[in-house]
Amino acid sequence: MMQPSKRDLISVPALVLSLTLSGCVTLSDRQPKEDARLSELQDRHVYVGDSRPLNSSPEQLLKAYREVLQHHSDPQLQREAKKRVADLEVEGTMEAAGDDYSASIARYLEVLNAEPEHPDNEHVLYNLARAYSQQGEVEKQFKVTGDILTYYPESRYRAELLFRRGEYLFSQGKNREAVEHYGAILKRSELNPFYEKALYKKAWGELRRMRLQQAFDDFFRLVKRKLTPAMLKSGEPMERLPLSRGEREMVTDVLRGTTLAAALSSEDMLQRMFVDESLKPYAYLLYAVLVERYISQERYNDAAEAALSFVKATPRHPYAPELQLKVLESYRLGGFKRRLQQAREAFVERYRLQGDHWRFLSEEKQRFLKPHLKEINTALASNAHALAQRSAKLEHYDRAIYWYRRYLESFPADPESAQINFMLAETLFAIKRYDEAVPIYERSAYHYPRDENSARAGYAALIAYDKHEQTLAASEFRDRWHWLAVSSALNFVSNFRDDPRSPRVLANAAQELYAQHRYQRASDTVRLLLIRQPLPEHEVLLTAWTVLGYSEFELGRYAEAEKAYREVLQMSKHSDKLYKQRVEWLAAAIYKQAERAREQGYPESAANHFKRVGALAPGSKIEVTSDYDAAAALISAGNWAAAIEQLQRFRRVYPQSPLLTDVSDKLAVAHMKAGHIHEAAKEFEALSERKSEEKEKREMLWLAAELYEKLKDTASRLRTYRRYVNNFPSPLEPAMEMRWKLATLYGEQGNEAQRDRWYDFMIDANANSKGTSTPRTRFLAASAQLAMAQPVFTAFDKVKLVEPLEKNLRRKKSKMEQALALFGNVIDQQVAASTTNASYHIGELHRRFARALMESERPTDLNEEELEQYDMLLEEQAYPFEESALEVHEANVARIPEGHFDEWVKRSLEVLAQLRPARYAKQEQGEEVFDGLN
Amino acid sequence: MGLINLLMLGLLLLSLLASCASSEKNSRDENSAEKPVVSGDNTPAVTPTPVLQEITPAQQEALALLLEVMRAGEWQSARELAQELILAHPTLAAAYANMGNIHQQLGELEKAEQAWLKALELNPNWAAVYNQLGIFYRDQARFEGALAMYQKALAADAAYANSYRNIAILYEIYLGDKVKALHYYQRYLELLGGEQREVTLWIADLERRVKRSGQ
Repeated sequence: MMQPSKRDLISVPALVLSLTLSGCVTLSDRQPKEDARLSELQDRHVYVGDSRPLNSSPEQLLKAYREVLQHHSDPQLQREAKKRVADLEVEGTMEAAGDDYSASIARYLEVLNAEPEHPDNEHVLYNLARAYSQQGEVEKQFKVTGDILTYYPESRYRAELLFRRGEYLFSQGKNREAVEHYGAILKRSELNPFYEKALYKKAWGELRRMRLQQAFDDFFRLVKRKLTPAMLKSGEPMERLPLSRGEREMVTDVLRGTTLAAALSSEDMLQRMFVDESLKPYAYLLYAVLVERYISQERYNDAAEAALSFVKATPRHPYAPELQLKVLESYRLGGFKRRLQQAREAFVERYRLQGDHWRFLSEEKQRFLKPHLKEINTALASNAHALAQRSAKLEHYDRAIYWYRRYLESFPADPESAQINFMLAETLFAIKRYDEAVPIYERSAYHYPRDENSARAGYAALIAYDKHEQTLAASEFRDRWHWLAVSSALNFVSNFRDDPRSPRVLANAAQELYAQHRYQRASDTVRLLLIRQPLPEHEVLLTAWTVLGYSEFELGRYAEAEKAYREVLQMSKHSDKLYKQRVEWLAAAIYKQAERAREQGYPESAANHFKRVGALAPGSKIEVTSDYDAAAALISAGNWAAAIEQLQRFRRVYPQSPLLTDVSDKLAVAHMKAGHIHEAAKEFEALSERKSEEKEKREMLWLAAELYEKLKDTASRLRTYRRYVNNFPSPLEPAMEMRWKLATLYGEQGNEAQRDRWYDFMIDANANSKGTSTPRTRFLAASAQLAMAQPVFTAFDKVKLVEPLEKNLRRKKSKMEQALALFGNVIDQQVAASTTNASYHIGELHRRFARALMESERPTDLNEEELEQYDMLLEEQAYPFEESALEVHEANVARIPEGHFDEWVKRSLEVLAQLRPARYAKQEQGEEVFDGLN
Repeated sequence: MGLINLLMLGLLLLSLLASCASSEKNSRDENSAEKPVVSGDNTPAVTPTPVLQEITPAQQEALALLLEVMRAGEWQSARELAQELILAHPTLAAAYANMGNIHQQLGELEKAEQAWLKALELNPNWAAVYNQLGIFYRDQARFEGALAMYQKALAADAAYANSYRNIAILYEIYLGDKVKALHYYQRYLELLGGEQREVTLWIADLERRVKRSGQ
């Protein structure tokens, strides 16, 4: 028969010895299989001595062993068979979920009693203990295991049995004995499979015994076996440490035990965690467990304080953020709103991006923290904002602003930042910090990806610009601010073209550009509006055309301005308040085109434009001026007929115009140029009446007189000359000229009386000039005197000394004296040009008188001798006159060196050449021809 | 030779002169074509220097004809001849000098003055032309100008008697300086030499008046 090997194993259900102590957990399943014994829960093998593996089923084996018992008497075989039957029955009972192991117990006892000293009894006892255990007879089991330890002190089952007994004692509350049992195991090799279990149970046992320090140390001995400081360096949370689930649960349980020990201790055992270098690495795990324990016990304040104490003690610990989060969780769960708020603030402050704490965190930790930071920061800001809206207190708004800003500072590129940014702008706007709101709104509008708030923000920025500007005093800064607002408006429009507010914003921006003298920009901007489809609303469109008109006008593009203003007028009603003003704009735009054409030398074109003012902008203030300027331009163009027509029209249409005088001026000139001399003269004459300035009146009348003179219109000449002299006796000179003209005209008409009368007036006027005479007036007066004298000279010359000689002689002499007196008066005027004339005539009066004497008719009754004597007498009579004549002519000629060499001096010279040829008939000698071949 | 014949000859000569002038002109054109102006140099390539050219017999004849026509008082014809002469011989001072006389006779006083001035420009030492200008200026009552011209005439030719006479008349009648007048009359007389009764009487009269006036 085959001998079963001692090392044969049979599979039996594990014996479960339950540990009643709460908090204990099942031990690790990682024990080596060959060492697994009583403690295994499932699929454990009970050592039953040497046996061979059998391929038969347990039932077949049992049957076979029972047959052995019945049919074999060999005691050794019987013993083995009984053992096997008992083992198999235990197994079978367990598999059948039965609870009666008494048969097996009986068989084991029978085997033991049969050979109490059998060396294999250690194993039989071991299996008996197991059967007792299964049978629920734990005390018998405890006794049997004690027997094994007593009789087999070196039993291979020693550690297990010690542990098992410790467990029994532990369950019975016999803590000291239990601890002793666990301690006995710990004295053995640390490699024994029950070492950690024993340590674990010992720690708990010590805790039960209130040997708290011992418990604390034991717990940590176990923790240190599972986790090295290096594993904890980065502050990983428990669940991420390289532990199996069982180990993790055990470590967690151990730490919980530690916290219990600390809690029960009167000493501050936790403080050791930050002092004892060997404990420091484990502190965070301990505090994590502690905090969780508090939370599970709803001791939220304790939880928060525990977490805070850790953070306070080791603020840079990589796990500190998690614990600080626990603070928040604790306060939240506990409903400590104020503390929660403070804790949140502290959290965000501590871990703000780029802050000191943040920089010391690993990237992984930063990634972990970011969502928390965002959430908390958002909550802080939202709460503050909500509170501010409820309380309307500035300080609350300030807090909201602070937290919004903190968020944006930390997460500028986050998708949520757009919303946060907008909220910040709204908050600033709400408390009228418009200048600060502006850039924030603009960031929302133009910086972040487009969302439903973008356009709203863009528009709000414009409002904020405006609101802030209202608070600014006039200054360069305000101007700059204003310009920024306009730029922002343009930005709005280019970014949110389809926004319903865009057209209005664009129109306003264009208006502002205009106001800031940026006319080209204003024009370009407003044109964008005008090409929109559909066209903007009426009011906006009207503004647009108006701004375009203004801008183009300022840019000097008057035709474009006109076009815009015409649109404006077309859109306007006559009843509009601004209608008249708009007409003025249009008029100005057209007028400027005319001006430009005029400046550039296109007067005809200018005239057409000037005329258009009245046609297109009737009633404008410059209509009259334009009509007038049209005429002036036509004059410049030399289009006299058109100019005259325009001027006459002007006179008809504006009979009361103050420009009428100028119109007459121009009409006169136009008539002149057109060859309508008579009309021109009439205009000048009329102007003389119309002009207000006396000088102008004089000049006009003078011109009229000259024109009448040209026309040989005697009646008009006489009228205008007389009027001139009567109305403008001074200044003397032109009045003298006019008198001269009058006298001359009368002379031409043969009206000697009137002529001489006017010569007299001239002489008198000059004589009574009271210092206002001029060389010219004196010359004219002298000329008048000469003119008065000349006829007398002629009359003198005509008197022939013929019979009746005496009478004629008297007549001639009388005329001579008369003439001498008159020429003498001329010389008294001391006008050189007249003096030479008068001198010549005086000389001639003498010479001719002498000659007349010599040529006088001789009396017929004289004989030859008497006649000779008569001639001698005549010569004697004539001689003094001849001498005088010589003297006077020589005196006249003597004026030559003084610069007087006029017609009369030459004539005197000619006379002298006759009278004294030897002296005065000398002729210069030149060449008739030049024959030299030079 | 009758005047008509003279004119016929004159026209013939003028046509010859004209052809000479044109051929000369053509040759100049050819020269200029051969010697183009050097580009890059701002100075003219050729700067013609007026050269008193020798007068050809034909030109002498033309001048003689002109003088004859002038002496005949045919001033219009004279002007045409003078113009042709000037065209043919632009550096001939005599042509301008006579042209001055012609213009004066035709009442073209301004042109007359310009012609005489041109003649003097070509021949600055021509006392007779200065003298002519002096008379012209005196007639226009430009006495200072007249005096200057007479003096230039004498400077050019101290033996030019007419200018002594004219300057004396100028001083006596127009400038009122009998002493200076006397001086020049005396110089005039000296230059004329021989019996000059009229001038001697003038001097005697003037001496008397100077004496009387205590000048």
